[in-house]
Amino acid sequence: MKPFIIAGLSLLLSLSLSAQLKVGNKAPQIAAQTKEGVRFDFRAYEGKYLLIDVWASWCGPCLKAFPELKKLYKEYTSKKFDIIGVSIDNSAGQWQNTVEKHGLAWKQYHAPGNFKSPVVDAWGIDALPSTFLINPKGEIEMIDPSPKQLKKFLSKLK
Amino acid sequence: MKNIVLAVVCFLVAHTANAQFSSARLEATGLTCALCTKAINSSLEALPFVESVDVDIVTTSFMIKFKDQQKVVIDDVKKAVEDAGFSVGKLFMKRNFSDVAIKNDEHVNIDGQVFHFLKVKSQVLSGEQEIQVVDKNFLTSKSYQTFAKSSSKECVKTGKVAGCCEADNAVSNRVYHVTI
Repeated sequence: MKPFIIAGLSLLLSLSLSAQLKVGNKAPQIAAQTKEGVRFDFRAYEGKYLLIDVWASWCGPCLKAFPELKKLYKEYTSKKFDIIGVSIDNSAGQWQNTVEKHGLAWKQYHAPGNFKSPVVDAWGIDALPSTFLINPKGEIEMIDPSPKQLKKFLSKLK
Repeated sequence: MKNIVLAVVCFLVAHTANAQFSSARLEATGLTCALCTKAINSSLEALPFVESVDVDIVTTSFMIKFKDQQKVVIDDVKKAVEDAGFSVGKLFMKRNFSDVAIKNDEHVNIDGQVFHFLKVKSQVLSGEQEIQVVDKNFLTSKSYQTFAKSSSKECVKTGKVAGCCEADNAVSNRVYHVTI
């Protein structure tokens, strides 16, 4: 009987750890750090809507999304909104080269491991890019919003 | 006498243990970005002979490292890709060759597995070499046709030794069509 209970609890735990996030869920932690070694902390973005862009240098669609993100960053960054990038690149070198090559102005964090990165499991990520808009209460406001949806939402913040 | 037998056994084990594919380079194709999807990574990593899967940004390929002393089943790599909803665009397998003589449109038995080399010059393979699998569904349809037309042997279409060629002490009747 005991083995079955343990197996059942383990299954439930593993399912909950990698479950898909939904709008309204509390945002999980992000185990990532800047190139200077500063760990990500939601408190640094207190009171803001935060757009989290999870990407990697080997993800073509991720790189194609940068121009739109640059427009959003330029137009809407304020006391009420900010953007961060979280790369799951295994190679710190490739991560940094890509950041520099594309001139990404928003804060960049590194959570290495490719799809084995802890961020992938914690945020239930199946594919890249994955973007999440977190509200000031620390809850998920939007998942993978289109640039149009984001502009409509952010224009109301101004 | 016992020591001699033991020494011979160790020698043979060492040689067969090293005689495996060490890694592979895989380009996968599909409706969405293959590299961007967790599904392929998970599917490949679940194979018992796969040690790790990484991504090469330069060749936009999956770099698969195989476990030592584990039989690598090439068809299972393709199946893993297809189970994830993608197709094999190109598959290159890397291994150490110990002076293996190859000829164009000829079979060669390498460690119990039959390989049929296509569109190659006669040569002796030694050291670490990469061979590309050119069987059906291991590359684009157009590229496959180019290789298929280069041989009149039935096995090019069937992937099986039976019916056209001898198995020659192979452990199975599967023949992989490859090029270098």
